[in-house]
Amino acid sequence: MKIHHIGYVVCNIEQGIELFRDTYGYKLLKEKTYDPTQHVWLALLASENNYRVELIQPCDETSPSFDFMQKGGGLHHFCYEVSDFEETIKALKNKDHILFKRPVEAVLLDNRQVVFLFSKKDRKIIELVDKSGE
Amino acid sequence: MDKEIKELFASVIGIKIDDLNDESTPKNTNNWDSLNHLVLIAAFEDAFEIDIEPEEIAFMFKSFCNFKSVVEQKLVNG
Repeated sequence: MKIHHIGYVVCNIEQGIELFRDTYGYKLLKEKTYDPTQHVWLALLASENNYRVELIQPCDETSPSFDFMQKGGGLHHFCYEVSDFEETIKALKNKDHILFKRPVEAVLLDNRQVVFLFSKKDRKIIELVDKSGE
Repeated sequence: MDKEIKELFASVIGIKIDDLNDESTPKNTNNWDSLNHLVLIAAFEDAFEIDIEPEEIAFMFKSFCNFKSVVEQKLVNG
């Protein structure tokens, strides 16, 4: 699977953008955007060698990554781009992954389908984005 | 079954079994955060050989009463 981006939780998205763009030299690909399905603010940036980072600022305690932010935030998930979206979900479910949120359209990624799964083996969250919606 | 569920739940998130009751929620229970909730789901799926759906996972994050009711229902329905 090809990495599309790394999800990174921050408590203030403007400050996060400032840090990655002005200090680390990332290019801002998508401005601060509100995602109503997750109730979070998002922004997408790319490093000099084109690694993408999605900044995530939970809006309040009803946002899924709010408690993660309260514990310091930072690296939250890897997002993989796959062309066989449904098949990959099924395959991962058969390989010790839990589908904990059904697929939704991601406003930051041009409304392509995304889904979140949890790996039982390393206890980490991964996201899949549907390449066919590119 | 109630005791078995409580024991597994408490051991997974590292709390005392006496600290858990039907009124327990993520807000009033130590270590029951969104990530540990998924660790709990994984532990219950494996221990009881059940599959838990995304909607149920969200429902179970409201209270221990909800959590227990989903597990019990799955065990009754086989």
